[in-house]
Amino acid sequence: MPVDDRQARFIRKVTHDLRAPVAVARTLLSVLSQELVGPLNPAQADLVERADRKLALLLALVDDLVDLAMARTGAIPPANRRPLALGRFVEQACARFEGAAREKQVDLLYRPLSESMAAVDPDGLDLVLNHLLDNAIKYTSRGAIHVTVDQSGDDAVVVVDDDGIGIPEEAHARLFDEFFRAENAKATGQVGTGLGLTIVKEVLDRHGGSIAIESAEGRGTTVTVRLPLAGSNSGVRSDK
Amino acid sequence: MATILMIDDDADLIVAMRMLLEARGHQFHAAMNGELGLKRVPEVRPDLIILDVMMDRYTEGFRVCQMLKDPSETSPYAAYRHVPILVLSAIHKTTPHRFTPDEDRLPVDAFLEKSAPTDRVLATVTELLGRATAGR
Repeated sequence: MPVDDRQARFIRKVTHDLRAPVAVARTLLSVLSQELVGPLNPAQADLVERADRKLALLLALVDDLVDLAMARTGAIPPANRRPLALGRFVEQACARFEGAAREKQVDLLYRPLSESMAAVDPDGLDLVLNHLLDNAIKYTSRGAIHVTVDQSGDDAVVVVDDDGIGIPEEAHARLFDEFFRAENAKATGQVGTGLGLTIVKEVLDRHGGSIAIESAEGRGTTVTVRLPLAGSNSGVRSDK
Repeated sequence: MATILMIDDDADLIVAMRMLLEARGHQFHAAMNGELGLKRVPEVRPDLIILDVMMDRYTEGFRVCQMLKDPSETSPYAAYRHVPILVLSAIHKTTPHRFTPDEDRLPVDAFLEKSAPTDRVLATVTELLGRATAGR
């Protein structure tokens, strides 16, 4: 059942009120870590860093739980699907992550292979791309991430292919479980909630799309997302 | 160094930003809501404004932006129209508002989430001040 405006407004208000104090606490900690109020000894610096990592995790949890709530309650309804120039949209998403990729010295390379008009809600697609690109950058520390847009049959296809740590075989069956994180992902020390792929799958399931993941530990990951092309049998025309 | 006015209703963030910016040699002023902020603009003549969105009202920051950037000749803020605005907000990305600079709705120079690392906030401040100086 789609949420009404009051519910959506409530989610936004709660989100803001949960995020703001956490974000401000992290800024206050950064004043300490930059030693603007006096030098820290190594033990104090370590404690400040640990506190900051906990707050970063809390912030990520708030964000991901809100994303999941928005996807599940229908705040991103399939009825909002409209034809969208997928190449341009994906390019813009990649541009938003350029800074993060640069910080990790990883090349984020986007290549459109065809002009595809997908039938999708832009907010839903934003969620999907944000989580996939965030994962790819988070778990890749050398090499490149290749993002392509193409079409195949009645589907528009987005592929995110990285040279990251990969996913061990035993974790494949649980990738979309809530709060699941593979052991090698946890071992990186990267902040993660284990909700990203759950959110991505939820959105795609509701929008007639699909996701497939191929990966091997130490050999990178290839994520393939399929979305109905605008005008196809499963695309926007069928909603009318 | 520059004069920076921060308009935000979070006293703790103001404390932190004051320390971060004063440590870099800037003059820092603050106002706790949009109305006080607009009053402070002609008093402190800022080189940069850091602005929150949700204060007393849900979209108070939008209103402040639009008043500061009002293109009419009779605008009381005409002399400050060129002052760059950095929006620093905790509003999550899944709100219906598209938080990118937008001439009509959100006429600002940069938007950052409050959760952005402070070095990114400070780098954006430096970039906006540099851009404003180059544009004079």
